[in-house]
Amino acid sequence: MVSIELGATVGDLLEAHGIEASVRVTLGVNNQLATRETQLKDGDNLEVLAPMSGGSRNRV
Amino acid sequence: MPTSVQNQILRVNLSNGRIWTENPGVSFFRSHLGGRNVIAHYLLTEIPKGSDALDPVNRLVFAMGPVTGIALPGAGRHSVGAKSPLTGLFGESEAGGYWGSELKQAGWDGLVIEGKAETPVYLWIKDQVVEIRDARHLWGQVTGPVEARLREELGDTQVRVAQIGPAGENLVRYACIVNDLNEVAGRTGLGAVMGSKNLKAIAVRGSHRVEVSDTLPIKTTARWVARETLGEGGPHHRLHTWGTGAMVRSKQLEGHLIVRNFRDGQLDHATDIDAITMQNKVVDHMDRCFACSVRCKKRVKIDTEQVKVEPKYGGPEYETLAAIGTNTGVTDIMAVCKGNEMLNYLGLDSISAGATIAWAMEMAETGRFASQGIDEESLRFGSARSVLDMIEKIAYREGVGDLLAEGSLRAARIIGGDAENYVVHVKGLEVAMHDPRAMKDMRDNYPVTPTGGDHTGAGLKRTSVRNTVGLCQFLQYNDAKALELLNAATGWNMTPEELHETFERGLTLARLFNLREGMTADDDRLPDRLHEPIRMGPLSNHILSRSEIRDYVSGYYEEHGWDKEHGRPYTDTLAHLNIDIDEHDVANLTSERPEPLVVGALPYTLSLDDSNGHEE
Repeated sequence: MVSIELGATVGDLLEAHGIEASVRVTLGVNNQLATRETQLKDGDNLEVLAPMSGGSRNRV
Repeated sequence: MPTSVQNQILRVNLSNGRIWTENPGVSFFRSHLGGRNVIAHYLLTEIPKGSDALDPVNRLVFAMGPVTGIALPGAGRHSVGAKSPLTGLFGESEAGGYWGSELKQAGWDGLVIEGKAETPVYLWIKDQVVEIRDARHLWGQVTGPVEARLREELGDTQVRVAQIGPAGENLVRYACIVNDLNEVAGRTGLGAVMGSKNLKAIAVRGSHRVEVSDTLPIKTTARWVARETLGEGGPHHRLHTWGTGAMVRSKQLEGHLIVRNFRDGQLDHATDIDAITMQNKVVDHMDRCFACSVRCKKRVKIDTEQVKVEPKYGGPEYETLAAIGTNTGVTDIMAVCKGNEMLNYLGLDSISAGATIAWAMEMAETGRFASQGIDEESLRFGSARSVLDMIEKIAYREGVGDLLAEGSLRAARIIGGDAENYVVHVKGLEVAMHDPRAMKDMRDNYPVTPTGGDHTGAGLKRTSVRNTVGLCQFLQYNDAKALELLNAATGWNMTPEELHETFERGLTLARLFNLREGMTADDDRLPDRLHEPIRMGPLSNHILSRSEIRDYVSGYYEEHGWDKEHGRPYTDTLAHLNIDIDEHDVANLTSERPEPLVVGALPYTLSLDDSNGHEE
């Protein structure tokens, strides 16, 4: 369990879990594409997806 | 010195029953390796220009790689090639499983089949003993019973079988070759070529271990992959846990999921067919290819009143989840799994089948089938019933299935009007389920890959190396590791420069074959649909311009030593690659370089970037 402050971002939560900014991941908050800067609020559903071959690598 | 290359190509002429061994020599294998390069050699040197792909003169080439069949994760790969009945150009597809390794263990680096048997036959290869046997009792049957029957009559439950289903027999232009019931050489219609030769199956049993020059790098790498698969967080672990279906969720979020004939990048309820849903509802267990500890292949089992799916036919990979799922608007996991089973027992390429059905659904939705007497209600986006019915109709060429069995481009040209504008293809091959509007790898790949709209078509360096060496694209080996494994297997001490030269040779041979068969630079492009914005989602404001593709393609030609306008190989490129202009009769397909190369300069751009993977 990790505690974060109100108004924290996705990036804050990822760092608290040891997922540094250099790690490539696809992020979703409440079924919408998100970034590390997206602010979280109570009850949000965060998805962290690792890139796969054929996934999000090398976006145009 | 022990080596994994056995210098033996099995040759079979089905017209006269002749079976013989060809020993091309170490220098041939060292300059071609396997896969695309070997296939291109035989197509270019043995098929007369302009031959029909379904004519007995076409060659069906099974090409192992130098590492195929050695005890290494990712080494269970082989390629199959022929002139494609779908595109009329260079046809090739890769497959995993066990069949290719078994053929290598029987002592063969490749198999080339020509001619046509008078009645249906199968090949039985037991090490160096090869027979052409009657297959009339197998003709018309789906793949599962055929494999069981062959194992029974050959008295060996370990016999590996590559075969066609009814789709190949009925010359569906995107019929595939199924091996081990759940692995396929899917793209470019190779099953139709096999069907045109009256060849139902190739049963193989090999009893020899494939030798290698140096076991240590191979064992070390195998142990690393096994450790990495067991440890959480790494790519091999993710592949093992979720399989390729994990892409559904990331593409949905990013807005480039393939939806409704490439119109939309997102689909309501797409998570109903993603990897998590599959694991929770239908996956029985994960299975492996030969010698691979990653075990990324899903085996699905469904046993309900309404739907039954047998694990022996595998389970849908991402390509199939998208092709007969999201691209047709279907998110019923039971139906998609059933469809996957049908594709594998009927012998159809899931990508071309799904893409052709999706195109037909758009034609029906927009009223373009109204004047054709086609029941538009039978082709509705979102209808699982439509998809399953169409798969069967296509395989047996029943009703509208006869039209769709020709592939989407031919079908569009038959119905006429502007229908062709809605076909999502490159060079006549339906585009795979990765959107080049969102993925640079695919933007760079589709326009120039010799096979057309093929995501594993080996037009780029990474895919070329793996295709020719015989390694799975999923294993996280970088180019240096691939070279180390190649040298450990063969004992050749190849340099990175020589490896690069080898896949340049194959790319240029395939290019020459395509140019000879009438392809022009105008075919190195994307279809209209992929220059339209995606209709919804985060990428809906993004447009991939035609000029961007043209500039990229022109640069690609130059990188490979071809003229930047027409993509014709320069004569000095052919000379450097030891491609004999007269032997291959390609003088009229070449160009002269406007400015001579500086002495010692390479005719192509050498790329030794090893950042495209990782290693222990």
